[in-house]
Amino acid sequence: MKKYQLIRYISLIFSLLVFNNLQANETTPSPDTVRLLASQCAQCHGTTGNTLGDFDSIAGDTFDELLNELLDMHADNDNEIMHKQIKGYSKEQIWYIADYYANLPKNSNEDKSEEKEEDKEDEVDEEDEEDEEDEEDEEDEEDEEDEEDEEDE
Amino acid sequence: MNNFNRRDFIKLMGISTAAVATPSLIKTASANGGLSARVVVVGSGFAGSTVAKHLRLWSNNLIDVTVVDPHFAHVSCVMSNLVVNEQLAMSDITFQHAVLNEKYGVNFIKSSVSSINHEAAEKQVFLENGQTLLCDYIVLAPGISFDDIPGLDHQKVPHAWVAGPQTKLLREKMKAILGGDTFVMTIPKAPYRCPPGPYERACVIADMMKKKGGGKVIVLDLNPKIIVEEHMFSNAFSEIYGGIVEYIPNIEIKAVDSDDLIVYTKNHGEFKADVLNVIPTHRAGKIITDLGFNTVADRWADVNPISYELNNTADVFVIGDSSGTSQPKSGHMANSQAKICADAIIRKIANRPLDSQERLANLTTNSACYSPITSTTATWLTAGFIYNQDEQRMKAIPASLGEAELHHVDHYKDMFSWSKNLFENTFM
Repeated sequence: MKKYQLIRYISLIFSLLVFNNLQANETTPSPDTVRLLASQCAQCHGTTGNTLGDFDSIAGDTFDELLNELLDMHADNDNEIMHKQIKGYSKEQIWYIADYYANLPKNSNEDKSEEKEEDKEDEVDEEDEEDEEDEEDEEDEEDEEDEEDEEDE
Repeated sequence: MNNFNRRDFIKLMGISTAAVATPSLIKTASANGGLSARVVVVGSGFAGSTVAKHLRLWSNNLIDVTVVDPHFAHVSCVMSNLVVNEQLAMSDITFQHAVLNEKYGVNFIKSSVSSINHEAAEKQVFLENGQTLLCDYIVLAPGISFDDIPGLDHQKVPHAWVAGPQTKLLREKMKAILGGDTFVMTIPKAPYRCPPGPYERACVIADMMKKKGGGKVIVLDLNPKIIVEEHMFSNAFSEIYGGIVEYIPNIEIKAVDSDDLIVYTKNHGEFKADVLNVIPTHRAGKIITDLGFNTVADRWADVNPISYELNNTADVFVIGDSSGTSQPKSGHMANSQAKICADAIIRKIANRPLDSQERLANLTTNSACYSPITSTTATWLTAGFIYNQDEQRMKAIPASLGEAELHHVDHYKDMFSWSKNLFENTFM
Protein backbone atom coordinates (compact mmCIF):
# COMPACT_ATOMS: atom_id res chain seq x y z
CA MET A 1 0.00 0.00 0.00
CA LYS A 2 2.71 2.46 0.99
CA LYS A 3 4.73 1.81 -2.10
CA TYR A 4 1.64 2.34 -4.20
CA GLN A 5 0.86 5.65 -2.47
CA LEU A 6 4.39 6.82 -3.05
CA ILE A 7 4.21 5.97 -6.73
CA ARG A 8 0.98 7.88 -6.99
CA TYR A 9 2.39 10.95 -5.27
CA ILE A 10 5.40 10.91 -7.54
CA SER A 11 3.35 10.50 -10.69
CA LEU A 12 0.99 13.25 -9.58
CA ILE A 13 3.83 15.66 -8.84
CA PHE A 14 5.38 14.81 -12.18
CA SER A 15 2.12 15.50 -14.00
CA LEU A 16 1.75 18.78 -12.11
CA LEU A 17 5.18 19.89 -13.26
CA VAL A 18 4.04 19.29 -16.80
CA PHE A 19 0.75 20.98 -15.99
CA ASN A 20 2.45 24.10 -14.65
CA ASN A 21 4.36 24.49 -17.89
CA LEU A 22 1.04 24.55 -19.74
CA GLN A 23 0.00 27.88 -18.22
CA ALA A 24 -2.54 26.83 -15.63
CA ASN A 25 -4.51 30.05 -15.70
CA GLU A 26 -5.58 29.78 -19.30
CA THR A 27 -6.91 26.26 -19.13
CA THR A 28 -8.40 26.46 -15.64
CA PRO A 29 -12.09 25.83 -16.32
CA SER A 30 -14.68 28.50 -15.58
CA PRO A 31 -17.71 27.47 -13.51
CA ASP A 32 -19.79 26.87 -16.66
CA THR A 33 -17.02 24.73 -18.13
CA VAL A 34 -16.84 22.71 -14.92
CA ARG A 35 -20.59 22.18 -15.15
CA LEU A 36 -20.23 21.02 -18.77
CA LEU A 37 -17.30 18.77 -17.92
CA ALA A 38 -19.15 17.21 -14.97
CA SER A 39 -22.35 16.77 -16.99
CA GLN A 40 -20.50 14.17 -19.06
CA CYS A 41 -20.62 11.83 -16.03
CA ALA A 42 -24.41 12.07 -15.86
CA GLN A 43 -25.16 9.63 -18.69
CA CYS A 44 -24.22 6.83 -16.27
CA HIS A 45 -24.54 8.57 -12.87
CA GLY A 46 -27.75 10.58 -13.28
CA THR A 47 -28.50 14.26 -13.83
CA THR A 48 -28.00 15.12 -10.15
CA GLY A 49 -25.32 12.49 -9.44
CA ASN A 50 -27.96 10.43 -7.61
CA THR A 51 -27.57 7.28 -9.61
CA LEU A 52 -30.24 4.71 -10.52
CA GLY A 53 -29.59 0.96 -10.50
CA ASP A 54 -26.34 -0.56 -9.30
CA PHE A 55 -23.80 2.07 -10.43
CA ASP A 56 -22.29 4.18 -7.64
CA SER A 57 -24.15 7.32 -6.66
CA ILE A 58 -21.70 10.23 -6.61
CA ALA A 59 -23.64 13.26 -5.37
CA GLY A 60 -22.76 14.37 -1.87
CA ASP A 61 -19.84 12.00 -1.39
CA THR A 62 -16.94 13.78 0.28
CA PHE A 63 -14.46 15.47 -2.00
CA ASP A 64 -11.64 13.31 -0.62
CA GLU A 65 -13.58 10.13 -1.20
CA LEU A 66 -14.47 11.00 -4.80
CA LEU A 67 -11.02 12.33 -5.64
CA ASN A 68 -9.17 9.35 -4.22
CA GLU A 69 -11.44 6.83 -5.85
CA LEU A 70 -11.18 8.53 -9.22
CA LEU A 71 -7.41 8.92 -8.98
CA ASP A 72 -7.06 5.26 -8.00
CA MET A 73 -8.98 4.23 -11.10
CA HIS A 74 -7.04 6.73 -13.20
CA ALA A 75 -3.75 5.16 -12.06
CA ASP A 76 -4.53 1.43 -12.32
CA ASN A 77 -4.65 -0.88 -15.29
CA ASP A 78 -7.95 -2.61 -14.57
CA ASN A 79 -10.00 -3.42 -17.64
CA GLU A 80 -13.27 -2.10 -16.25
CA ILE A 81 -15.55 0.41 -17.91
CA MET A 82 -15.20 3.21 -15.33
CA HIS A 83 -11.45 2.72 -15.08
CA LYS A 84 -11.27 3.28 -18.85
CA GLN A 85 -13.71 6.21 -18.83
CA ILE A 86 -11.76 8.13 -16.20
CA LYS A 87 -8.57 7.88 -18.25
CA GLY A 88 -10.21 10.32 -20.65
CA TYR A 89 -9.70 13.09 -18.08
CA SER A 90 -6.64 14.89 -16.71
CA LYS A 91 -5.94 14.94 -12.98
CA GLU A 92 -6.90 18.60 -12.90
CA GLN A 93 -10.23 17.83 -14.57
CA ILE A 94 -10.83 14.99 -12.12
CA TRP A 95 -10.23 17.42 -9.28
CA TYR A 96 -12.96 19.75 -10.59
CA ILE A 97 -15.38 16.91 -11.28
CA ALA A 98 -14.90 15.56 -7.73
CA ASP A 99 -15.49 19.02 -6.32
CA TYR A 100 -18.64 19.50 -8.42
CA TYR A 101 -20.34 16.27 -7.32
CA ALA A 102 -19.16 16.60 -3.70
CA ASN A 103 -21.17 19.82 -3.60
CA LEU A 104 -24.40 18.34 -4.96
CA PRO A 105 -26.97 17.10 -2.44
CA LYS A 106 -27.25 13.38 -1.84
CA ASN A 107 -30.84 12.36 -2.21
CA SER A 108 -30.51 9.44 0.19
CA ASN A 109 -34.12 8.48 1.00
CA GLU A 110 -35.50 8.82 -2.48
CA ASP A 111 -32.47 7.12 -3.93
CA LYS A 112 -32.91 4.03 -1.81
CA SER A 113 -36.61 3.61 -2.53
CA GLU A 114 -35.98 4.23 -6.21
CA GLU A 115 -33.27 1.59 -6.32
CA LYS A 116 -35.59 -0.94 -4.75
CA GLU A 117 -38.29 -0.19 -7.27
CA GLU A 118 -35.84 -0.39 -10.11
CA ASP A 119 -34.60 -3.77 -8.92
CA LYS A 120 -38.14 -5.05 -8.81
CA GLU A 121 -38.73 -3.82 -12.34
CA ASP A 122 -35.68 -5.70 -13.49
CA GLU A 123 -37.01 -8.92 -12.14
CA VAL A 124 -40.34 -8.34 -13.82
CA ASP A 125 -38.59 -7.53 -17.06
CA GLU A 126 -36.58 -10.67 -17.05
CA GLU A 127 -39.10 -13.15 -15.70
CA ASP A 128 -42.71 -12.19 -16.29
CA GLU A 129 -42.34 -10.08 -19.34
CA GLU A 130 -44.89 -11.97 -21.41
CA ASP A 131 -48.06 -11.13 -19.48
CA GLU A 132 -47.01 -7.56 -18.96
CA GLU A 133 -46.09 -7.12 -22.54
CA ASP A 134 -49.28 -8.40 -24.13
CA GLU A 135 -51.26 -5.71 -22.37
CA GLU A 136 -48.81 -3.02 -23.28
CA ASP A 137 -48.63 -4.11 -26.87
CA GLU A 138 -52.32 -3.57 -27.36
CA GLU A 139 -51.91 -0.02 -26.15
CA ASP A 140 -48.81 0.46 -28.25
CA GLU A 141 -50.53 -0.64 -31.39
CA GLU A 142 -53.31 1.86 -30.94
CA ASP A 143 -50.86 4.66 -30.32
CA GLU A 144 -48.60 3.87 -33.19
CA GLU A 145 -51.01 2.71 -35.84
CA ASP A 146 -50.66 5.71 -38.07
CA GLU A 147 -47.09 6.56 -37.29
CA GLU A 148 -44.51 6.66 -39.99
CA ASP A 149 -41.27 4.99 -39.16
CA GLU A 150 -38.88 5.81 -41.92
CA GLU A 151 -37.13 8.49 -39.93
CA ASP A 152 -36.68 9.68 -36.39
CA GLU A 153 -38.83 12.70 -36.88
CA MET B 1 -8.07 5.15 1.93
CA ASN B 2 -8.24 8.88 2.25
CA ASN B 3 -4.55 9.49 1.88
CA PHE B 4 -5.21 12.60 -0.17
CA ASN B 5 -7.26 15.45 1.13
CA ARG B 6 -8.43 18.66 -0.44
CA ARG B 7 -5.70 20.80 1.11
CA ASP B 8 -2.92 18.50 -0.05
CA PHE B 9 -4.27 18.46 -3.51
CA ILE B 10 -4.72 22.21 -3.73
CA LYS B 11 -1.16 22.64 -2.53
CA LEU B 12 0.10 20.18 -5.08
CA MET B 13 -1.92 21.62 -7.89
CA GLY B 14 -0.99 25.18 -7.01
CA ILE B 15 -4.57 26.28 -7.52
CA SER B 16 -6.29 28.65 -5.16
CA THR B 17 -9.56 27.69 -3.55
CA ALA B 18 -11.13 30.80 -5.02
CA ALA B 19 -11.04 29.13 -8.41
CA VAL B 20 -13.17 26.27 -7.19
CA ALA B 21 -16.68 26.41 -8.45
CA THR B 22 -19.48 25.53 -6.12
CA PRO B 23 -22.94 24.80 -7.51
CA SER B 24 -24.30 28.03 -6.08
CA LEU B 25 -21.65 30.06 -7.90
CA ILE B 26 -22.38 28.20 -11.09
CA LYS B 27 -26.06 29.04 -10.83
CA THR B 28 -25.34 32.71 -10.27
CA ALA B 29 -22.99 32.82 -13.21
CA SER B 30 -25.62 31.35 -15.50
CA ALA B 31 -28.59 33.30 -14.25
CA ASN B 32 -27.08 36.60 -15.25
CA GLY B 33 -30.34 37.95 -16.56
CA GLY B 34 -29.12 38.18 -20.13
CA LEU B 35 -30.18 34.73 -21.18
CA SER B 36 -33.62 35.42 -22.54
CA ALA B 37 -33.84 33.87 -25.99
CA ARG B 38 -35.95 31.42 -27.98
CA VAL B 39 -34.63 28.10 -29.23
CA VAL B 40 -36.52 25.67 -31.47
CA VAL B 41 -35.31 22.05 -31.33
CA VAL B 42 -36.34 19.80 -34.22
CA GLY B 43 -36.52 16.14 -33.19
CA SER B 44 -36.68 14.72 -29.69
CA GLY B 45 -34.56 11.63 -29.63
CA PHE B 46 -31.45 11.39 -27.46
CA ALA B 47 -29.86 14.52 -28.94
CA GLY B 48 -32.96 16.73 -29.12
CA SER B 49 -34.30 15.81 -25.68
CA THR B 50 -30.91 16.30 -24.00
CA VAL B 51 -30.31 19.73 -25.53
CA ALA B 52 -33.83 20.89 -24.68
CA LYS B 53 -33.55 19.73 -21.07
CA HIS B 54 -30.10 21.22 -20.49
CA LEU B 55 -30.92 24.57 -22.12
CA ARG B 56 -33.69 24.95 -19.52
CA LEU B 57 -31.72 23.50 -16.65
CA TRP B 58 -28.59 25.56 -17.24
CA SER B 59 -30.32 28.87 -17.98
CA ASN B 60 -32.42 28.73 -14.83
CA ASN B 61 -35.44 28.38 -17.15
CA LEU B 62 -34.72 31.73 -18.81
CA ILE B 63 -34.38 30.32 -22.32
CA ASP B 64 -37.66 29.55 -24.05
CA VAL B 65 -37.29 26.08 -25.60
CA THR B 66 -39.77 24.51 -28.02
CA VAL B 67 -39.35 20.97 -29.30
CA VAL B 68 -41.03 19.89 -32.54
CA ASP B 69 -41.48 16.17 -33.16
CA PRO B 70 -44.12 14.15 -35.06
CA HIS B 71 -44.58 11.75 -32.12
CA PHE B 72 -45.71 12.27 -28.53
CA ALA B 73 -43.06 9.83 -27.33
CA HIS B 74 -39.62 8.67 -28.36
CA VAL B 75 -38.92 4.96 -28.67
CA SER B 76 -35.27 4.31 -27.82
CA CYS B 77 -33.04 2.35 -30.16
CA VAL B 78 -30.85 1.73 -27.11
CA MET B 79 -32.01 -1.62 -25.64
CA SER B 80 -34.47 -2.20 -28.53
CA ASN B 81 -32.87 -5.54 -29.48
CA LEU B 82 -34.19 -6.77 -26.13
CA VAL B 83 -37.70 -5.91 -27.28
CA VAL B 84 -37.12 -8.07 -30.35
CA ASN B 85 -36.29 -11.07 -28.17
CA GLU B 86 -39.09 -10.13 -25.73
CA GLN B 87 -36.89 -9.60 -22.69
CA LEU B 88 -38.26 -6.04 -22.55
CA ALA B 89 -41.62 -4.53 -23.44
CA MET B 90 -42.05 -1.58 -25.82
CA SER B 91 -43.13 0.52 -22.84
CA ASP B 92 -39.70 -0.02 -21.23
CA ILE B 93 -38.02 1.91 -24.06
CA THR B 94 -40.77 4.49 -24.72
CA PHE B 95 -40.40 8.00 -23.27
CA GLN B 96 -43.17 10.61 -23.27
CA HIS B 97 -42.14 14.15 -24.20
CA ALA B 98 -44.65 15.44 -21.64
CA VAL B 99 -42.13 14.59 -18.90
CA LEU B 100 -39.64 17.27 -20.06
CA ASN B 101 -42.53 19.70 -20.28
CA GLU B 102 -43.73 19.02 -16.75
CA LYS B 103 -40.30 18.89 -15.16
CA TYR B 104 -38.39 21.59 -17.04
CA GLY B 105 -40.99 23.61 -18.95
CA VAL B 106 -39.85 22.49 -22.40
CA ASN B 107 -42.64 23.36 -24.85
CA PHE B 108 -43.67 20.53 -27.14
CA ILE B 109 -45.44 20.71 -30.51
CA LYS B 110 -46.49 17.51 -32.28
CA SER B 111 -45.74 18.28 -35.91
CA SER B 112 -42.98 18.15 -38.52
CA VAL B 113 -40.91 20.97 -39.98
CA SER B 114 -41.62 21.78 -43.61
CA SER B 115 -39.08 24.54 -44.02
CA ILE B 116 -37.05 27.14 -42.15
CA ASN B 117 -35.89 30.68 -42.85
CA HIS B 118 -32.57 31.11 -41.08
CA GLU B 119 -31.28 34.18 -42.90
CA ALA B 120 -32.91 36.82 -40.70
CA ALA B 121 -31.88 37.45 -37.10
CA GLU B 122 -35.37 36.38 -36.11
CA LYS B 123 -35.60 32.94 -37.62
CA GLN B 124 -38.78 31.27 -38.80
CA VAL B 125 -39.59 27.58 -38.53
CA PHE B 126 -42.56 26.54 -40.67
CA LEU B 127 -44.50 23.51 -39.47
CA GLU B 128 -46.67 21.01 -41.34
CA ASN B 129 -49.58 21.93 -39.07
CA GLY B 130 -49.53 25.48 -40.46
CA GLN B 131 -47.85 27.11 -37.46
CA THR B 132 -44.80 29.36 -37.84
CA LEU B 133 -42.39 29.49 -34.90
CA LEU B 134 -40.14 32.52 -34.40
CA CYS B 135 -36.82 32.00 -32.67
CA ASP B 136 -33.18 33.09 -32.28
CA TYR B 137 -31.51 29.68 -32.57
CA ILE B 138 -32.46 26.41 -34.27
CA VAL B 139 -31.16 22.99 -33.23
CA LEU B 140 -31.74 20.15 -35.69
CA ALA B 141 -31.67 16.63 -34.27
CA PRO B 142 -33.41 14.58 -36.94
CA GLY B 143 -31.59 11.25 -36.50
CA ILE B 144 -30.92 9.28 -39.66
CA SER B 145 -32.39 8.53 -43.06
CA PHE B 146 -31.59 5.60 -45.34
CA ASP B 147 -30.17 5.13 -48.82
CA ASP B 148 -32.60 3.65 -51.32
CA ILE B 149 -32.18 0.01 -52.33
CA PRO B 150 -34.13 -1.18 -55.39
CA GLY B 151 -37.11 -3.34 -54.40
CA LEU B 152 -36.83 -2.68 -50.68
CA ASP B 153 -40.13 -2.23 -48.84
CA HIS B 154 -39.65 -1.72 -45.11
CA GLN B 155 -43.19 -2.77 -44.32
CA LYS B 156 -42.22 -6.27 -45.47
CA VAL B 157 -38.50 -6.17 -44.75
CA PRO B 158 -37.96 -4.28 -41.49
CA HIS B 159 -34.78 -2.35 -40.75
CA ALA B 160 -35.76 -1.99 -37.08
CA TRP B 161 -32.95 0.61 -36.88
CA VAL B 162 -35.31 3.43 -35.93
CA ALA B 163 -37.14 1.97 -32.95
CA GLY B 164 -40.93 1.86 -32.72
CA PRO B 165 -43.27 0.12 -35.17
CA GLN B 166 -40.26 -1.33 -36.99
CA THR B 167 -39.02 -2.97 -33.78
CA LYS B 168 -42.45 -4.47 -33.30
CA LEU B 169 -42.54 -5.71 -36.90
CA LEU B 170 -39.22 -7.52 -36.48
CA ARG B 171 -40.38 -8.95 -33.14
CA GLU B 172 -43.56 -10.32 -34.76
CA LYS B 173 -41.56 -11.91 -37.56
CA MET B 174 -39.21 -13.49 -35.01
CA LYS B 175 -42.20 -14.89 -33.11
CA ALA B 176 -43.28 -16.66 -36.28
CA ILE B 177 -39.87 -17.93 -37.39
CA LEU B 178 -39.34 -21.68 -36.91
CA GLY B 179 -36.35 -23.74 -35.84
CA GLY B 180 -34.32 -24.59 -38.95
CA ASP B 181 -35.39 -21.40 -40.73
CA THR B 182 -33.00 -18.81 -42.16
CA PHE B 183 -32.64 -15.22 -40.94
CA VAL B 184 -30.68 -12.90 -43.21
CA MET B 185 -29.53 -9.43 -42.15
CA THR B 186 -27.41 -6.76 -43.80
CA ILE B 187 -25.06 -4.36 -42.01
CA PRO B 188 -24.70 -0.83 -43.44
CA LYS B 189 -21.46 0.76 -44.49
CA ALA B 190 -19.81 2.65 -41.61
CA PRO B 191 -20.35 5.19 -40.20
CA TYR B 192 -23.79 4.14 -39.05
CA ARG B 193 -25.88 4.45 -35.88
CA CYS B 194 -24.52 2.32 -33.00
CA PRO B 195 -21.34 0.60 -34.22
CA PRO B 196 -21.75 -2.66 -32.20
CA GLY B 197 -25.53 -2.70 -32.76
CA PRO B 198 -25.79 -4.92 -35.85
CA TYR B 199 -23.36 -7.50 -34.44
CA GLU B 200 -25.32 -7.41 -31.19
CA ARG B 201 -28.50 -8.02 -33.15
CA ALA B 202 -26.92 -11.00 -34.92
CA CYS B 203 -26.11 -12.48 -31.48
CA VAL B 204 -29.59 -11.81 -30.08
CA ILE B 205 -31.24 -13.40 -33.12
CA ALA B 206 -28.81 -16.35 -33.13
CA ASP B 207 -29.61 -16.91 -29.45
CA MET B 208 -33.33 -17.01 -30.34
CA MET B 209 -32.68 -19.47 -33.19
CA LYS B 210 -30.56 -21.64 -30.92
CA LYS B 211 -33.46 -21.82 -28.46
CA LYS B 212 -35.79 -22.78 -31.31
CA GLY B 213 -33.54 -25.75 -32.03
CA GLY B 214 -31.16 -24.21 -34.58
CA GLY B 215 -31.33 -22.55 -37.95
CA LYS B 216 -29.26 -20.08 -39.91
CA VAL B 217 -28.36 -16.44 -39.27
CA ILE B 218 -26.60 -15.06 -42.33
CA VAL B 219 -24.88 -11.73 -41.65
CA LEU B 220 -24.08 -9.77 -44.80
CA ASP B 221 -21.69 -6.95 -43.87
CA LEU B 222 -21.02 -4.11 -46.31
CA ASN B 223 -17.83 -3.40 -44.34
CA PRO B 224 -14.57 -5.27 -44.90
CA LYS B 225 -14.67 -6.71 -41.36
CA ILE B 226 -16.43 -6.52 -38.00
CA ILE B 227 -15.87 -2.84 -37.22
CA VAL B 228 -15.90 -2.94 -33.38
CA GLU B 229 -15.21 -5.53 -30.67
CA GLU B 230 -13.97 -7.79 -33.44
CA HIS B 231 -12.55 -10.41 -31.13
CA MET B 232 -15.72 -10.62 -29.03
CA PHE B 233 -18.16 -10.83 -31.92
CA SER B 234 -16.11 -13.12 -34.14
CA ASN B 235 -15.74 -15.51 -31.18
CA ALA B 236 -19.46 -15.32 -30.51
CA PHE B 237 -20.22 -16.07 -34.15
CA SER B 238 -17.82 -18.99 -34.41
CA GLU B 239 -18.08 -20.50 -30.92
CA ILE B 240 -21.33 -19.66 -29.11
CA TYR B 241 -23.27 -19.60 -32.37
CA GLY B 242 -21.03 -21.88 -34.43
CA GLY B 243 -23.07 -23.62 -37.11
CA ILE B 244 -25.79 -20.95 -36.85
CA VAL B 245 -24.11 -17.66 -37.77
CA GLU B 246 -22.48 -17.29 -41.14
CA TYR B 247 -20.64 -13.96 -41.43
CA ILE B 248 -19.76 -12.59 -44.88
CA PRO B 249 -17.91 -9.24 -45.21
CA ASN B 250 -17.48 -6.91 -48.20
CA ILE B 251 -21.01 -7.40 -49.49
CA GLU B 252 -22.35 -5.12 -52.20
CA ILE B 253 -26.14 -5.13 -52.39
CA LYS B 254 -27.75 -4.93 -55.82
CA ALA B 255 -31.44 -5.24 -54.96
CA VAL B 256 -33.96 -6.80 -52.61
CA ASP B 257 -37.07 -8.83 -53.40
CA SER B 258 -39.38 -7.79 -50.54
CA ASP B 259 -42.07 -10.40 -51.35
CA ASP B 260 -39.87 -13.46 -51.77
CA LEU B 261 -37.36 -12.18 -49.17
CA ILE B 262 -34.21 -12.38 -51.29
CA VAL B 263 -31.11 -10.16 -51.15
CA TYR B 264 -29.30 -9.93 -54.50
CA THR B 265 -25.64 -9.01 -54.17
CA LYS B 266 -23.15 -7.84 -56.78
CA ASN B 267 -20.37 -10.08 -55.52
CA HIS B 268 -21.80 -13.05 -53.57
CA GLY B 269 -24.88 -14.24 -55.44
CA GLU B 270 -28.25 -14.19 -53.74
CA PHE B 271 -29.54 -15.03 -50.26
CA LYS B 272 -33.07 -16.29 -49.60
CA ALA B 273 -34.52 -15.69 -46.13
CA ASP B 274 -37.48 -16.69 -44.01
CA VAL B 275 -37.07 -13.41 -42.14
CA LEU B 276 -35.13 -10.62 -43.81
CA ASN B 277 -33.69 -7.61 -41.95
CA VAL B 278 -32.09 -5.07 -44.30
CA ILE B 279 -30.46 -2.05 -42.63
CA PRO B 280 -29.49 0.30 -45.47
CA THR B 281 -26.51 2.64 -45.33
CA HIS B 282 -27.36 5.86 -43.47
CA ARG B 283 -27.21 9.56 -44.10
CA ALA B 284 -28.29 12.63 -42.14
CA GLY B 285 -31.99 13.11 -41.48
CA LYS B 286 -33.83 14.19 -44.60
CA ILE B 287 -34.35 17.75 -43.36
CA ILE B 288 -30.59 18.43 -43.55
CA THR B 289 -30.35 17.84 -47.28
CA ASP B 290 -33.86 19.18 -47.97
CA LEU B 291 -32.81 22.52 -46.51
CA GLY B 292 -29.63 22.50 -48.59
CA PHE B 293 -27.10 22.67 -45.75
CA ASN B 294 -23.44 21.83 -46.38
CA THR B 295 -22.55 18.20 -45.85
CA VAL B 296 -19.42 16.17 -45.25
CA ALA B 297 -18.88 13.01 -47.31
CA ASP B 298 -22.11 14.06 -49.03
CA ARG B 299 -24.00 12.50 -46.11
CA TRP B 300 -23.64 14.30 -42.79
CA ALA B 301 -24.18 17.85 -41.56
CA ASP B 302 -20.97 19.87 -41.63
CA VAL B 303 -20.66 21.14 -38.05
CA ASN B 304 -18.05 22.65 -35.76
CA PRO B 305 -17.63 20.24 -32.80
CA ILE B 306 -17.03 23.04 -30.28
CA SER B 307 -20.68 24.03 -30.65
CA TYR B 308 -22.33 21.81 -33.31
CA GLU B 309 -23.16 24.99 -35.19
CA LEU B 310 -23.27 24.42 -38.95
CA ASN B 311 -20.15 25.68 -40.67
CA ASN B 312 -21.27 28.59 -42.86
CA THR B 313 -24.73 28.88 -41.27
CA ALA B 314 -24.79 30.91 -38.07
CA ASP B 315 -27.14 30.03 -35.22
CA VAL B 316 -28.29 26.73 -36.71
CA PHE B 317 -26.95 23.66 -34.91
CA VAL B 318 -27.02 19.94 -35.79
CA ILE B 319 -26.48 17.32 -33.09
CA GLY B 320 -26.67 13.54 -32.83
CA ASP B 321 -26.46 11.01 -35.63
CA SER B 322 -27.02 13.61 -38.38
CA SER B 323 -23.83 15.49 -37.53
CA GLY B 324 -20.60 14.65 -39.31
CA THR B 325 -17.83 14.43 -36.71
CA SER B 326 -15.01 12.08 -35.79
CA GLN B 327 -17.16 10.57 -33.02
CA PRO B 328 -19.32 7.43 -33.13
CA LYS B 329 -23.05 7.73 -33.74
CA SER B 330 -25.00 6.55 -30.70
CA GLY B 331 -27.64 7.63 -28.19
CA HIS B 332 -25.01 8.04 -25.49
CA MET B 333 -22.83 10.17 -27.76
CA ALA B 334 -25.83 12.21 -28.95
CA ASN B 335 -26.53 13.05 -25.30
CA SER B 336 -22.89 13.99 -24.81
CA GLN B 337 -22.80 16.29 -27.88
CA ALA B 338 -26.11 17.89 -26.94
CA LYS B 339 -24.61 19.18 -23.69
CA ILE B 340 -21.77 20.89 -25.57
CA CYS B 341 -24.35 22.41 -27.90
CA ALA B 342 -26.50 23.64 -24.99
CA ASP B 343 -23.46 25.19 -23.33
CA ALA B 344 -22.46 26.87 -26.62
CA ILE B 345 -25.92 28.37 -27.16
CA ILE B 346 -26.00 29.69 -23.59
CA ARG B 347 -22.60 31.35 -24.09
CA LYS B 348 -23.67 32.83 -27.43
CA ILE B 349 -26.76 34.33 -25.82
CA ALA B 350 -24.59 35.81 -23.06
CA ASN B 351 -22.08 37.13 -25.62
CA ARG B 352 -19.31 35.02 -24.18
CA PRO B 353 -16.67 33.39 -26.40
CA LEU B 354 -16.93 29.70 -27.34
CA ASP B 355 -13.24 29.39 -28.14
CA SER B 356 -11.65 30.48 -24.87
CA GLN B 357 -8.75 28.27 -23.77
CA GLU B 358 -10.51 27.36 -20.54
CA ARG B 359 -13.39 25.91 -22.58
CA LEU B 360 -11.57 24.30 -25.50
CA ALA B 361 -9.05 22.58 -23.22
CA ASN B 362 -11.90 20.93 -21.32
CA LEU B 363 -14.33 19.98 -24.11
CA THR B 364 -14.95 16.28 -23.67
CA THR B 365 -17.48 13.74 -24.87
CA ASN B 366 -17.75 10.07 -24.12
CA SER B 367 -19.41 6.98 -25.39
CA ALA B 368 -20.20 3.86 -23.42
CA CYS B 369 -22.44 0.97 -24.25
CA TYR B 370 -23.34 -2.56 -23.36
CA SER B 371 -24.31 -5.23 -25.90
CA PRO B 372 -26.09 -8.48 -25.07
CA ILE B 373 -24.23 -11.52 -26.43
CA THR B 374 -26.68 -14.11 -25.04
CA SER B 375 -29.94 -13.73 -23.10
CA THR B 376 -27.98 -13.61 -19.83
CA THR B 377 -24.59 -12.12 -20.73
CA ALA B 378 -23.33 -8.89 -22.24
CA THR B 379 -20.16 -7.08 -23.23
CA TRP B 380 -19.18 -3.40 -23.02
CA LEU B 381 -17.35 -0.85 -25.13
CA THR B 382 -16.19 2.63 -24.18
CA ALA B 383 -14.31 5.66 -25.55
CA GLY B 384 -13.53 9.19 -24.40
CA PHE B 385 -12.89 12.15 -26.70
CA ILE B 386 -11.29 15.55 -26.17
CA TYR B 387 -11.11 18.54 -28.49
CA ASN B 388 -7.82 18.75 -30.35
CA GLN B 389 -7.12 22.38 -31.14
CA ASP B 390 -4.51 21.71 -33.81
CA GLU B 391 -6.73 19.35 -35.76
CA GLN B 392 -9.94 21.18 -34.82
CA ARG B 393 -11.79 17.98 -34.09
CA MET B 394 -12.78 15.71 -31.24
CA LYS B 395 -10.07 13.12 -30.87
CA ALA B 396 -10.28 9.75 -29.14
CA ILE B 397 -8.09 9.45 -26.04
CA PRO B 398 -6.17 6.18 -26.47
CA ALA B 399 -6.02 5.32 -22.74
CA SER B 400 -9.80 5.66 -22.48
CA LEU B 401 -10.57 3.16 -25.24
CA GLY B 402 -11.65 -0.19 -23.92
CA GLU B 403 -13.84 -3.21 -24.32
CA ALA B 404 -14.77 -6.18 -22.16
CA GLU B 405 -12.55 -9.23 -22.43
CA LEU B 406 -15.42 -11.61 -21.83
CA HIS B 407 -19.18 -11.50 -22.07
CA HIS B 408 -20.50 -11.88 -18.56
CA VAL B 409 -23.67 -11.94 -16.44
CA ASP B 410 -22.38 -8.96 -14.43
CA HIS B 411 -22.11 -6.87 -17.60
CA TYR B 412 -25.64 -7.96 -18.49
CA LYS B 413 -26.86 -6.56 -15.14
CA ASP B 414 -24.80 -3.38 -15.58
CA MET B 415 -26.44 -2.89 -18.97
CA PHE B 416 -29.72 -2.11 -17.17
CA SER B 417 -28.05 0.35 -14.77
CA TRP B 418 -26.38 2.07 -17.72
CA SER B 419 -29.56 2.37 -19.78
CA LYS B 420 -31.67 3.53 -16.82
CA ASN B 421 -29.30 6.41 -16.09
CA LEU B 422 -28.91 7.30 -19.76
CA PHE B 423 -32.69 7.37 -20.16
CA GLU B 424 -33.07 9.49 -17.01
CA ASN B 425 -30.36 11.95 -18.06
CA THR B 426 -31.97 12.32 -21.48
CA PHE B 427 -35.74 12.04 -21.21
CA MET B 428 -36.60 12.74 -17.55
